[in-house]
Amino acid sequence: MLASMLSLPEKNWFQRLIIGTILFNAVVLGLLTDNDLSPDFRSVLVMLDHLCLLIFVFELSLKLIGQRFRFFGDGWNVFDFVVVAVALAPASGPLSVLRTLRVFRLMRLVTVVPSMRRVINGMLGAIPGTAAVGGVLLVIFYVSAIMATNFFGQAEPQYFGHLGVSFFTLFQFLTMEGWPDVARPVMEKVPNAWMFFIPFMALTTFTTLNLLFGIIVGAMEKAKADEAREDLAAQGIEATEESDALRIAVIEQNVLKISQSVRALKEQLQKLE
Amino acid sequence: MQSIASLLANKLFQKAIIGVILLNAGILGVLTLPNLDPALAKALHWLDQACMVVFCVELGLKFTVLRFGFFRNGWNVFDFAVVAIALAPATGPLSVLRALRVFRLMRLVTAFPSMRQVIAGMFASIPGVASVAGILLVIFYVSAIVAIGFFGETDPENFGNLGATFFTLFQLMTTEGWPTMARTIMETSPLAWIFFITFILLTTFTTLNLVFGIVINSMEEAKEEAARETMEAKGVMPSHQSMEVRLAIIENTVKSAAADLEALQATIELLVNARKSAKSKDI
Repeated sequence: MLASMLSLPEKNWFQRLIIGTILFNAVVLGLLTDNDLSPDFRSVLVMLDHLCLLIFVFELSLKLIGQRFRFFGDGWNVFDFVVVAVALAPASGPLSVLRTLRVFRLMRLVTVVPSMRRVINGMLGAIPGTAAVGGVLLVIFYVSAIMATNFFGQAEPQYFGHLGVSFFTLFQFLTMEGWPDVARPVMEKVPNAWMFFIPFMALTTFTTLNLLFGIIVGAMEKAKADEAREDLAAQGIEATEESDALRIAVIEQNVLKISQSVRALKEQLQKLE
Repeated sequence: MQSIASLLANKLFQKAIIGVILLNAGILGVLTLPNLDPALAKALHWLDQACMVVFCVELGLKFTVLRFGFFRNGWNVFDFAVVAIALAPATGPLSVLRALRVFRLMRLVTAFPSMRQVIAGMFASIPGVASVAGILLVIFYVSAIVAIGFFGETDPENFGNLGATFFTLFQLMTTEGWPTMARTIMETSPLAWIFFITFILLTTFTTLNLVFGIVINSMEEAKEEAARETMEAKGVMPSHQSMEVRLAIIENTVKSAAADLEALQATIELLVNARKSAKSKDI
């Protein structure tokens, strides 16, 4: 009995039920944003929301009991756990922000649908390779924020008054949104300010593009390689983990060996005649 | 029957249809001009109707040849729907159809094989990027509800209800005018920057990912399609497997061929030596 209960989360119909519950919960939480709801309907919706939460708690407890501490070894499980725990935390006083954050529960859709999970996995997998670029971007931002606060803090305290404000304004520069409206008033007081703004934008937009492309291309290549490996496994062919360049070099070597063998064979056969 | 089929396949006929589509495009363009001379407008309407007749005849011919196989091809369905819209009565609640008859000009895309290939490539890449689109949708929905909870009272114009919030979030994703909005809200809720910056980073990144996925996939698809055609023309059997898989297969075949040849070489060497020794014995 207990064993069959614990195997529930692996059953297909159970997973489909969970997806259905998440979608249903999404609709309920969407309806709850309407302020003109009648109190009766609202209380019904709140009840349904609690019911969905109950189903999630049930599912996660089954997993938790079944896998014990291994449960927390999987990042997706930790995500599910945190997101449901947020909804269970008392949402009063200083924690009232948690009431709004319970919506994060709907993000579970991403963890439940395997294809979406693969996309996120690919993106996360590409992060280490691009961490260096991310670090460079962070250094540029930090140095620029300190410089901007020193240079323009007095001229435009609204935009560069202290480090936090400067960071926000520099992020605005990165998105290129309304940056001339900030730069021109500053330049009226500090005419040489363009010498800061333009190199900053050129540097950061380029670095960001570099970062984003790196992540995206890396994630796509990894996804493609995974897919190919699955195909190969289905055809019973052994797949190598090596890079394409190395594999082509090995093929080259083998082809060379073949042509040498063929030539040697030909000579020997000629001798035979 | 045969003659109709050969007419439809005729290059000249196809060029004539493209010409009619272009003519129709010109007519519909001129008809949008204000202060058009009534006599000219009437003449243009007549010409428009004439173009319609040509399209109807063309589709009718296609239908007589293909029968119900006609609807199995997506492009034919598109052509049919687009011409049918123009034929539908455009009165009362359906008056929107009058404006939609311009869709007929989209047939230009279906008439050129190269344009068709571009569209087909884009469609083919949709399943691959559907999961990215799904993630974007989840991010949008969750963010909309969070934003209503946080900013619904301070900025009801932008975050009052689900519909308005979706629109505002779309504006944020395009990054148009977000600093003004964010600064206003940050006057009342100073921590709002956490939401704005996270949302912009997440959505612009995911959108880039989505667009990239479509572009790269459809480009590869088109390239492979073109390669397949040239291979067929040269009489090489095209493979339907991905490059990765084909590389692995080549790898394995070459490796085993090299090993086989080495073994064969050794055997033949043995044979040659055996013969040599036999010959020397004979002598």
